[in-house]
Amino acid sequence: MQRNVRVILALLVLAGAAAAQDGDLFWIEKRAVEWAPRPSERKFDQIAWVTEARTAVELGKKHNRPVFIFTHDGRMARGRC
Amino acid sequence: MDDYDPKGAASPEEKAAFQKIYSTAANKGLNVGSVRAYVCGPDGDPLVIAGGGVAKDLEILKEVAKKLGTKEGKPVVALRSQFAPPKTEPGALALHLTARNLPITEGGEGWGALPGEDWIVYSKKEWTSFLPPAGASPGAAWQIDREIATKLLSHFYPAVEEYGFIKKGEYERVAIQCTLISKDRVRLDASLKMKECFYSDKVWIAVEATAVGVVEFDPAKRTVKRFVMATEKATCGGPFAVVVRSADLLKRGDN
Repeated sequence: MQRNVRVILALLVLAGAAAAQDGDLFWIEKRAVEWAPRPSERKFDQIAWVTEARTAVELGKKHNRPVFIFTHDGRMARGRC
Repeated sequence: MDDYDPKGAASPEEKAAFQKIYSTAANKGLNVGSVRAYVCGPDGDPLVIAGGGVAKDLEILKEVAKKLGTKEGKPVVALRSQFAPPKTEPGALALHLTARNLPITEGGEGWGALPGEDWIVYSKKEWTSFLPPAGASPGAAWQIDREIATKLLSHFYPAVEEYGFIKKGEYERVAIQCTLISKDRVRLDASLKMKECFYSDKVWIAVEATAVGVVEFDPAKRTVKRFVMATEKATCGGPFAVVVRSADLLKRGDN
């Protein structure tokens, strides 16, 4: 009887450990969704940028559009300063 | 302006083209600098410097469009993500990392209000180390090589003012332990304590973080199907969060 109880308890402990791991993995999935970049944080991509000033001026001349040039230090496209 | 610095990646022709705009703006007495928004005519002639806030910038853009008689129309190039997955060797594993300050504040200002993102690319040789040794049973555990772990964990920091990694970071603790939890799943437990020098060689930023993750793999093909990781607790001055997710395993290496 005692042996059976010990076996049952061991199984319960293992099941608990597996549940904790599964709980952790569910938590990861939830965080992966919550913390991913949101559309409101990627408004930069809603502008049709080109990456060279020469290309921008060529297009400006071709389409008779003013040209907006944004210069900065860092990597704006990925939020690293 | 890193790419346009003398040793930057931009071509000489491109640097010269921008220098012409910059010099013309300076000669006109416009407020030039390295972080600026130049509004130019269709021929690239700088007309005005924007950057005084959303409302004021919209006024400027409307005035310029009106002055030039610009007609409304669709964008002249296609919209696309400015941070697409990098080109890689065939069989490489590209991981997308998002790091953000907590709590998340919608509409906040400054670089700290937005998430920072990185792509980390592991070669096949590197990502294979996340798979269990042949014949391993659930419960088996192993450590990831420190260099491979550093390649990922060194990007665990929120958006800060930075000019890249100015000096080599100091890594007191960089570890990823893998545990096989089923025939096709590996649990990851990561621990990090580092200092990085981003802004000035006199300013070191301390980071501590723990994270958990899971790698789902195909035991027969020995390939990674999915890699995901998230921080449980992380600090860099204040609390921050990180999530890492795999892009599809790239077969062709182009995007």
